[in-house]
Amino acid sequence: MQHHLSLAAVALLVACKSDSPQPDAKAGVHVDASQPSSSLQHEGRAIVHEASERVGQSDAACIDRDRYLALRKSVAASMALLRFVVPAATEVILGPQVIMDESAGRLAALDVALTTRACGEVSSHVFQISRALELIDFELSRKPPARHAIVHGLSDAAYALGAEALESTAGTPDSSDAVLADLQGMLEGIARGARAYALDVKGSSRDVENLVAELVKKLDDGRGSFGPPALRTTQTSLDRGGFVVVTGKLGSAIRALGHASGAEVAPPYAPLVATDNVNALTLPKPHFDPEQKSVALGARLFADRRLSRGSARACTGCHDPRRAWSDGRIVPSSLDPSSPLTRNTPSLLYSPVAAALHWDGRIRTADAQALHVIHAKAEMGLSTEQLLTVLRGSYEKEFAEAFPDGLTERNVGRALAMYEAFALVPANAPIDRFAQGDASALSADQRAGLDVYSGKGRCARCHAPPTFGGARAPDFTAPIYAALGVPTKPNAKVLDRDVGRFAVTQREVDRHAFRTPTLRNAEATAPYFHHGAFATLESVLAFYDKGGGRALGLAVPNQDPDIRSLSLSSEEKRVLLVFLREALHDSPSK
Amino acid sequence: MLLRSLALCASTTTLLACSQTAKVEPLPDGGVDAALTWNDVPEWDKPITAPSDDAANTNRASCTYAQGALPAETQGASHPTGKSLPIDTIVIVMMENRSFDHYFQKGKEAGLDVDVAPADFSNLGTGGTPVTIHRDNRLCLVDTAHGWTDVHDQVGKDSKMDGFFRTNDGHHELPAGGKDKPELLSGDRSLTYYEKADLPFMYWAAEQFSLGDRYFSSLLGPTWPNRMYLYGASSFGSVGNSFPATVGTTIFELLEKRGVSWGIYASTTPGASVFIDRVIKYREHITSEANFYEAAKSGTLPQVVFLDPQIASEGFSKTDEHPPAIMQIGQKWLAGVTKAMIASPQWSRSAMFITYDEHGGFYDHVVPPKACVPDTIALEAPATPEQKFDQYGIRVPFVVISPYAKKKFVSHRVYDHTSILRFVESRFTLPALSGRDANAEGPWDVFDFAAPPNLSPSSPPDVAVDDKTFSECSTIFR
Repeated sequence: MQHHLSLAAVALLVACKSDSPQPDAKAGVHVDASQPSSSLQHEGRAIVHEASERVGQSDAACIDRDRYLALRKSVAASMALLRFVVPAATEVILGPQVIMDESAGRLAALDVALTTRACGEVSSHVFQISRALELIDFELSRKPPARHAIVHGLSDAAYALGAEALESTAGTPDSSDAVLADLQGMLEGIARGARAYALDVKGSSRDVENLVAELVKKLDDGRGSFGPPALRTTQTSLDRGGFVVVTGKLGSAIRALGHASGAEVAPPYAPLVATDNVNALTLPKPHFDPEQKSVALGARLFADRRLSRGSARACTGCHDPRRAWSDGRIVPSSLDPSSPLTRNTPSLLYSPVAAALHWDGRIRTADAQALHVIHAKAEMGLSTEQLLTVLRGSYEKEFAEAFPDGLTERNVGRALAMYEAFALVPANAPIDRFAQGDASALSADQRAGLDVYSGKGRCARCHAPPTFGGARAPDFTAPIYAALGVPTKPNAKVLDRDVGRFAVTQREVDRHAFRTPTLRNAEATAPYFHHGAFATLESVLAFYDKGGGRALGLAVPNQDPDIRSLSLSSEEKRVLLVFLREALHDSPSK
Repeated sequence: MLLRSLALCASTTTLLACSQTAKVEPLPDGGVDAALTWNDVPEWDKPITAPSDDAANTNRASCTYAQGALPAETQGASHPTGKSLPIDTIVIVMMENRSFDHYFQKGKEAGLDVDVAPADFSNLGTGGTPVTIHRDNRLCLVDTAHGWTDVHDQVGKDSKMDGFFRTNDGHHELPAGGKDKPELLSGDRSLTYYEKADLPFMYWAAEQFSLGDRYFSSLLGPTWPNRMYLYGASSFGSVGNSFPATVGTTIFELLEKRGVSWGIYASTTPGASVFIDRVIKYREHITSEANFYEAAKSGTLPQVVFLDPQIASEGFSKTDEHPPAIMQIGQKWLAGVTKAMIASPQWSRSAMFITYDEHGGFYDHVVPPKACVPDTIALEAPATPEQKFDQYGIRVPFVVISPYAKKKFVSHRVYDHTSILRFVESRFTLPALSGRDANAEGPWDVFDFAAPPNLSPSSPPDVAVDDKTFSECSTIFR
């Protein structure tokens, strides 16, 4: 690959330039060659050069596995250190931080190409990665990286370590040997970055390095988790949960290092319960910030039958607090005989931290969802005017106290959303106590279950912690959809006819795809899937273990690639179910 | 008095060995006689009989001209080229992501002869209800869709410019501080415009100098390939934010070969980084934005200047006007840049072109016309096999600030990013880089080179960034 030469040439040019500080008058611009170098600049360039070298060795139609893993490790190291230094370049490699356009990261695309043996595409992705690294090196050669960008990157990398150990990031590679390479690379990048940073600011990276060493040891001890799929075993597995909690400490130590030198960086997101240990199992604050008066108002509205046509039902009619905020039915009854309801009532638990609502994700926020249901003829069936008429008289004072503009349709939605934000994120399951550092909160079986959930079971790839639903950190606002090929009933040879998200987007990739619901309190929210046709968690697990609709012989051309034969042993199934039933189950009261 | 030293190096690859310099005689009006800085290039300096304006128009419209065509062969006899153009300093500022209608919908009310959307222009919104264009009061908007597929959908299968709402509704994540504001993601935001009070600099520039209302971005796609057209008159197959596999000749090589001084001024990653091998090769031409002001003040700007706003990353407080940026911050920055130019000793023989890389996803009512394909390089995915670079992108604002720019003039000639290139090529007698700039017209009609130059224009307005707006935007897009 040519870029080796050009990188070398750049290094040479820079070296020469420092000896020849004359401005280039022909270029007409003044070049400042005397800019102070820094340890970070040096280490950043070194880590990029190493990655470039690995990438350069991968310029083959299909790279052999060892070279690919070496590439991933070195790229992960450079990204851990330099994620926010040259955003345009890191977006090429990792994809944009926000979900938009068509620009998926090339590292993920490379993994897909290798996994699917689309060898012809490999060199294109390798080329883009190498060019992006060149751009990062070029920018680093011009000036030292901003310290704030470094601390920000390292802090986010610490979080990403935990998220990828749980195999729950958008960029998690297909096989766990590549996950291990990423984790090793990130740890190396964090340690080297912290050391260089500490040198520059005359601080100490000791805490960070100690935590990195602790995590490295955990990885070494748990290597059995990361072999090729066929060889993976839970016998020598990584204690993923324990690993994740330490990544939270690592992030905290990195931010402390930044804080000591004037680089203030916040955790990746605001946690629901105040803590500086924000790790991949830490729940975020809900999207709506509940405000006391609105919460009280929302609680009344939620239980008021007059919000429906003929006072037929309140919100609680289908989202019953005694039934985990669902209704226990296969599908609810319709208020409009001409249009029966065909989808199972989703539990509202954790909806305040979901990225989208309804099975097809057509609504993005809780207030809009509430109003949608109130207006839907089959569900509550009130027009805007009917709704406001009902509320005038009995609620005007409360609305006036809760909102500056008083009783409006929008504020009805907001009051309900704030009540939900207050009431529907209980966050007192064993997994939540564990995330906060209570190692005893999870039993040995539950921990083993988490390992299956995240590893061989591939559950976390869509049902991503900490919500265990279809939203990822740090913003929890990009919904995850998947086409599973769910049949009309367990083991039936007929694909359910509901086209799901396709009805909203008209895109083939969305045909029969549905929003990924949270698995928190799954035991209490039976029956399952969009049509409620699976009565037990066992039947759901059997469907996944077999490999989804395709494994049943159904035509599901867009079936999610993570839905595949899992070959879970009976013991693995047992601990997985224990994890789901116990570790993700909230106690009845908050 | 202006004195400049010019290194006598053929190219920057031999930079380290270069030390000889030659003095350049100053001109009485402060300009530099570009003739002294030129390298003779016999194949570019051959005698040419220029075609008539009509013949040149016809030929360009039918994409007759090819890569290598010299400006004098393609522009028409009435348009001056080479040293007879009284412009020695060309400053090119490419901002980010705003459409023409989005900025100048209310231009007529300011007396500008602009073609804007009818007041009732609408796209179908949720549930098939039309959403009519309206003024935005938030001033910082969640980013709008501008990928290759989305922009083609915005133009629509029947070219009705009817896809702005549908491609933007629900598009993008909610910002970190806006999770209780679902309306931020509504397709409504693509159907917004601003008024003179919102855009004091742009309206001042249009009223004091010239504006183009048929200036199109170069392709129906995002930032990178559009910027590639500015530097290379082609994106070499790229339709998204990716590096082209092979980059052909760019304007930088031509300027080097001609011995024209040029520079890139940027406070963040330069836009030219889309051609990463070139910025590495020409690293000595790249410097900080701060040095632009210094050089403008001292009259030492190079002959061709690419000045970049903060394009490296999105943010509400960036100067590039890319959503969610508060556009007033970019407007303030542009006013500062313009002040520096007007105060510069180089002003009297300068031209500054301000444009936007693409429309960002904001509505415009003009269907982009057919364009000449740049080359035969295949388009990368997600372009479909039948797609070509044969249509311009959506209209963007185009302002020309120069002592020779006509006052309050609105050009209706069709231009794109390669029209700016064609102006540079015309001034320095450089051949066309691709089939696109070969058939592009330079923005001649905005200039009156026969009129006395405007040596003391009014000062750009002070652009205030509203505190309340800043505070609200910082809460949402923290």
